[in-house]
Amino acid sequence: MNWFLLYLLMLKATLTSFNGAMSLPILRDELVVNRKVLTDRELSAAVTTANASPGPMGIYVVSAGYFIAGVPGAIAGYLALITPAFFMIPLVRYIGRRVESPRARSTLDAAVLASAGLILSSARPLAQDAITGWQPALVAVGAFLIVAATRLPTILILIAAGLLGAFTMLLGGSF
Amino acid sequence: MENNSKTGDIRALISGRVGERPSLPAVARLFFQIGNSTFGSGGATMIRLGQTMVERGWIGPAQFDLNFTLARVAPGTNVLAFVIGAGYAARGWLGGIVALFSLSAPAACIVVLLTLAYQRWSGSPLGHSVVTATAASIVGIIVGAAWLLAKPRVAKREYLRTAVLVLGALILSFWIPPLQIMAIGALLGYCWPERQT
Repeated sequence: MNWFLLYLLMLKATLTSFNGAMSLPILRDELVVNRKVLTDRELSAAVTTANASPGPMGIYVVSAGYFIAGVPGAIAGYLALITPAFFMIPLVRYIGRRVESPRARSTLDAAVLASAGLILSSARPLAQDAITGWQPALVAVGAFLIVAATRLPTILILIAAGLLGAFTMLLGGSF
Repeated sequence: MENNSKTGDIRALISGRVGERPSLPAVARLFFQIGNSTFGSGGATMIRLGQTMVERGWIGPAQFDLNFTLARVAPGTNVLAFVIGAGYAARGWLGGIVALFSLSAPAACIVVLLTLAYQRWSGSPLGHSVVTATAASIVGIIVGAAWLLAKPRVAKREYLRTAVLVLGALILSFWIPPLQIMAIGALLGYCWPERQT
């Protein structure tokens, strides 16, 4: 895939989201469903690497870009990640505190809630791919409970899950 | 906002800066160190960066507060919006750009290396087991992220509005593309304001 087109598709996802996770449904729709240049397993791996590395969760687009088109794809993903940030400067200079009006906050709030529903929707195919038995199901439930009830960094959850997978395999089981 | 007419420094007026203007290498060092040693919560990164910048007198507390709020309404990743805004407040356009790249570029390189590692080792039995387990945990993490987005509104007892928007988007996603669903959600939010407390 042409790297500039990839940049534009990823930019569509990052520009229309208000945090890292919100871009996931749009990116999945474009790259997995419509253009089939990425699989759900690769997208899940991209999200995993983003959670395992420092920086924002939205950096998963760099990994997704790499899966699609190698280093040029990763660069396209990185540029798509950072481009929306430049809108912050005119926002600070010219709009400032007006964006805090109740109506504006209510509109944004509703878009965030809608994106929560979309995130659940995008988790469904990832779950179909990853949860193939009771052990992965237990891991998924455990991860959800830890995220929902604690402030533990997600990297610790990933490390614990990875170690669980490794020990299970080394003890002769399967995951 | 403090009156800095004595210094005649317009940027100091905007930033509320009380100390010396930081050098670009100093900006790069701070954002590289804090941005690449914090995992997970973008909020924690923003707070650590902001507190350090205020302590050093690079920006004032009011500017930190404004950047923190605006970063949540700016498009894209909150952390990066905050970083470029804070860097801009401290050192102008160059400061914003240096801050942005200092935080994000090293992390992006790490992500590529991890992706390479995944591609190399995911095919082995041990690698497959590790990947399957982490992929399962990612599902839980993603669902948890959705809950954390909705949780503040549930805490404010906006049950009906939250349920309609979240479940409505989930159901509509079977037929309508995500971007349109978010636009519908935003329109609904405009017409159905949240309760003011």
